[in-house]
Amino acid sequence: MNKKLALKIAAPLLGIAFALGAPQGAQAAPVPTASPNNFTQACTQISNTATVNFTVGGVGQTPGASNAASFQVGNRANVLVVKQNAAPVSVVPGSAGNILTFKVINAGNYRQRYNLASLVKAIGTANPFAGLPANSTFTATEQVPAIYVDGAPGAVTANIDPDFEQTVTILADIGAAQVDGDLSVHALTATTTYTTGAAVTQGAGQSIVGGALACTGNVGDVVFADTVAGPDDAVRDAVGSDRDAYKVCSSLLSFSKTATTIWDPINYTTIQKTIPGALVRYVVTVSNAGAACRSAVLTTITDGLSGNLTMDANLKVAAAAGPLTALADESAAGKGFKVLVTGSARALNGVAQYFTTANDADGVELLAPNITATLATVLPVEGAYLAGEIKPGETVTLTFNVVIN
Amino acid sequence: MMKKALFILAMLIFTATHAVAADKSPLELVSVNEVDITVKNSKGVDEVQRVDAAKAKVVPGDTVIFTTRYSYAGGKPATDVVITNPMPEHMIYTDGTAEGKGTRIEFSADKGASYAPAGKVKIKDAKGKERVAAAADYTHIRWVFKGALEKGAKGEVFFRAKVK
Repeated sequence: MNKKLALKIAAPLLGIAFALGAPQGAQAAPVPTASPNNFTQACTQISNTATVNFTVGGVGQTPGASNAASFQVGNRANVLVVKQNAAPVSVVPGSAGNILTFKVINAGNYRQRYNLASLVKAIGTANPFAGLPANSTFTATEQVPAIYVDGAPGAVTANIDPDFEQTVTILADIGAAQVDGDLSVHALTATTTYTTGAAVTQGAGQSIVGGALACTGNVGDVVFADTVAGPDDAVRDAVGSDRDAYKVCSSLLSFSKTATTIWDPINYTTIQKTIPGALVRYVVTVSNAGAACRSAVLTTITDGLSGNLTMDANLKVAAAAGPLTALADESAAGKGFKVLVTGSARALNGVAQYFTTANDADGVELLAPNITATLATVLPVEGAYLAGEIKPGETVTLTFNVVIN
Repeated sequence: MMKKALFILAMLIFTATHAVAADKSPLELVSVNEVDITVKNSKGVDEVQRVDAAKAKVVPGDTVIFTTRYSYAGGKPATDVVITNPMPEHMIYTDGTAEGKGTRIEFSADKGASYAPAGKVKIKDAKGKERVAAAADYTHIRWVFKGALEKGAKGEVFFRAKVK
């Protein structure tokens, strides 16, 4: 009978956060890492001298000293790439610029630079986190450029001193066709170079440049100390790597509307019929399933009233008597709309709210022929709730009566 | 006149003594820094070789063997011999590795002000509370020879330490 029922939903919550968090601007300087090794810096000279005291014939002799034996500390090259989240990054279908965050840490003892590369791992790659799905099910499309270093696009870090780190992010877009539970695995690799960008070669007597200390003749020993292979690099290759993942997660909304004849002027409430003068109750229901992993932010519910219907301004209560004007009102006079939220932690959970049928911006308006419920007003900001937000397991209903002309 | 002659004699003795002292000590020390590396021998079997640290790849975490070789060329026996080795900067002593035949080994955690055997060295923390020093706290090692060194005596003392 009435028509054009519609629901508008704001951008999913985490989607908004991602958009606001998109990196931009100049690259920030490296910062100290949380767990420093405090290694002796490469090219440091370590010298040892012993002394001796003794007596001869009971007479103390002038102390003797050894030669100063010294050696130079070599370059213990080690880079760590560490993802920064404990679970896959939650994304929604059709969202853009979703961020995976890594730290690239100089765990060695000399100033280095690192070449970065991102890898979109093939479908079927093991989930880098505990939990399901066990393997990736799709490949998110990485943006161009995909890699940002401390907020600036680029695939090369700054010169990073030992025990310092930079934050590296990968940006990717999620296809609109993806469904809840889909997983896409991505990797970041960091390859050690000197501050000149030249590759680091392992061995004795290698050229060493770029650190605060100068090796004798700019030559020193280089040892690749990454003794544990990363997921996308080998043992002792001066490359660090780690994997992260996107997991699709959205709200699971259901939307329904029922029309029930609750009273007619002849039969009242006994096998009441849909005849002129009958009272029909509409209930519009929006639910976010308990199994959903994300809230939804509702903006408006709109419904178009047919010209053959007249709004019941007082939300009358059906009774086995008549006439219509004699029926009791559920709400205060003039408040023909009822909104009820259930399954919620909101203060008004299970408590009916009534709104006028006038166009007075109280939250639910009738501007003939349209009914519009503004959820930001009906369900305002409250504690852990955004305006209009319904969390998984929550339901909001809009109830009103009409009279058949 | 007699007093003047005695003074001159005393000055000559003093000068002579110090001239000798400025010469090379009869108890000579030679320090050597080495590391043990594993290489494959001609039969393809792993073999540990000790090489000069200056010619090896030494990086943080590696262990260096600091050896002091001594030889005595004096005419009379040397007694009360003590070889002292400050812990080289950037190194951490590896507990239980100091050795020296015929010596008593002692450690200091206060830059050589006091010494005690391992496990009995005391150190005060930032709050002034005394505790037993750990190997990482040692600043000096010394080898106190139990007997005299005769002319021609040779030997070595050593310890191991890790590069910080």
